[in-house]
Amino acid sequence: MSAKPDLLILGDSHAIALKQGADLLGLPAEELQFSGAGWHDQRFALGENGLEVRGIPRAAGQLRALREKLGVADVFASGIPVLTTVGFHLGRLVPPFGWNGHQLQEEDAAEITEGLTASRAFARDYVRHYRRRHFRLLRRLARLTPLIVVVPPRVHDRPNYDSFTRIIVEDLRGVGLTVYDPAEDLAGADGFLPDNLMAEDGIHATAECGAMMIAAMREQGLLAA
Amino acid sequence: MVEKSDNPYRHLPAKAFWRTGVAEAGLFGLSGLWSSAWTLPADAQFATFGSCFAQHISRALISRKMNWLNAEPAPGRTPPELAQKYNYGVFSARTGNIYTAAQLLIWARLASGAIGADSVEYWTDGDGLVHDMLRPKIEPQGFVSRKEAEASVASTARAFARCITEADVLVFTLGLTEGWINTATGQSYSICPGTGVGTFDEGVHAFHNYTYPEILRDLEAALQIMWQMNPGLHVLLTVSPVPLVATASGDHVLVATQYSKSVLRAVAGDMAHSHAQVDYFPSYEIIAAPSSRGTFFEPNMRAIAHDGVDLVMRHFFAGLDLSAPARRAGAGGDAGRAAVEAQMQAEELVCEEMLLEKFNER
Repeated sequence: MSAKPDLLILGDSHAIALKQGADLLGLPAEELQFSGAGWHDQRFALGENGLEVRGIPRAAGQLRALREKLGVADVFASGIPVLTTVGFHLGRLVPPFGWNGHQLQEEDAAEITEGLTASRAFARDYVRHYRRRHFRLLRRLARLTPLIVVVPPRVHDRPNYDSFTRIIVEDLRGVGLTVYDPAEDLAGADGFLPDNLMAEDGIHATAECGAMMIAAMREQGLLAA
Repeated sequence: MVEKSDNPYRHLPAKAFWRTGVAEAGLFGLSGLWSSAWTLPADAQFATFGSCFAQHISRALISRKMNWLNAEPAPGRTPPELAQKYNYGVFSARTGNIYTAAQLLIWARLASGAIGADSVEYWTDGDGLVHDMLRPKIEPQGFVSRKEAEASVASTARAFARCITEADVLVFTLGLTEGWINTATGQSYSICPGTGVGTFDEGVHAFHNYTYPEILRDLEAALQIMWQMNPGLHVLLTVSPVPLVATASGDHVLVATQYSKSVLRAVAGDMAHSHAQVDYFPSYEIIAAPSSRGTFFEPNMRAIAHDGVDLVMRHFFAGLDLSAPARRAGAGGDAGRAAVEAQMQAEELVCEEMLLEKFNER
């Protein structure tokens, strides 16, 4: 058993920047990370020992190692603050929604004049269908330990991504979860993450950006300094 | 020239006589009830709209793996229960039930661009949610704003336009002569305001039992718009055999039902006789004529039993002529498949008119 880390980081590929950011800041952090596809496909469960990973051997091994390292069965109930990107996985959720050309008509957006529209109520139900278990997991974790859900950075304006992000954030906040949206602190004038904070893949944040997010959360009192 | 000892009836087929055509044939021996007026391509695309009964035609086409055009499917990977909740896959576009010719005319005008979504009446409920009075139950809760509601009507109008321009056959089931209109704006309602959505105002909302000339006029106008958009469009009219839930005419509901169906049947027949591109399919007769002895009505004497729908569709497919060569290779695609999957899961008919029964307090 080693010393307790300051942070636990749980999530998909967007969690990588948070872990790298913690490393840059010199904050001891441990992570459990697997793909957005795995999260979307609900390769997780809540068992006797809290979060369990199903069907992803690498991640299951990572969780086992973490339990041994921390000397606890339920890693995410040990009181260590958790930063998580669980619940979004937009790359698996949003594109299928648009397969038949559907878009959501947002109040602040131009009138949609081509293709099909779906209502916000429908989209919310759609999100809840695919994310019900994720939200349940997050609520459970939040009861056991300080938890901050971190919104993935806004890096493009592909149809429906902003709408889905907004819906998920509203739902998370609606059930009392703490949400940190980097767009509120780090976005440029155009509302997107600046190029210098974006990884080469154009999707994820850099380590520096991860560090800035953690710093912002600490400044705002979301995370103990 | 008919000879003295001869007469025209001597040369008529067995189906022209009640004894041989109906009485001796028996309910399940009826044949030659309908023969398609058109030779259609093997991959002909069908679009379906109209009253509740039209939903059966949608499903039958899908179950036969025919080309049912779903121009407004649910978003990809929508679970079936969610698609059903939001009325996706019920008709070829998300129009909801189109009960009257007047409402069909509105959709045709919306599809052609003659009027915009802003011309439709919208109603905001006590929770601030917005409903369009053309499709009052299309969303289970309503739209979050007028802008979203208008966007949805416009979206459905585009899908309806696609049905007009891409379908080979538009199947339209006439359902009601009775309706409600806004005397100030002329808006035709699909259900009476105040019975589910909207607030009834007796100073503005008026009952209207559309007459034969009015229905003929509106149907003719709607089809002329559609033919301007697609001169090759075939229109197959049917009349719903489902009786009225309630009548506001003052007559007994049985009498009102027979009046309504008779008028609709006459309009459909006359349209078919006067236009080569219009045909009439006798679903009404198969279910409601004396030959069925009411067999296909459920105990409430209104809903149509599954066996009745099956028989109707057997006659439909028996009379359909799809012998012309197919034109499209690999019809379908991801969007079509997803919509079909969603549609196949649907179990419950969607019928706003059923809302009226809750006002029967006896």
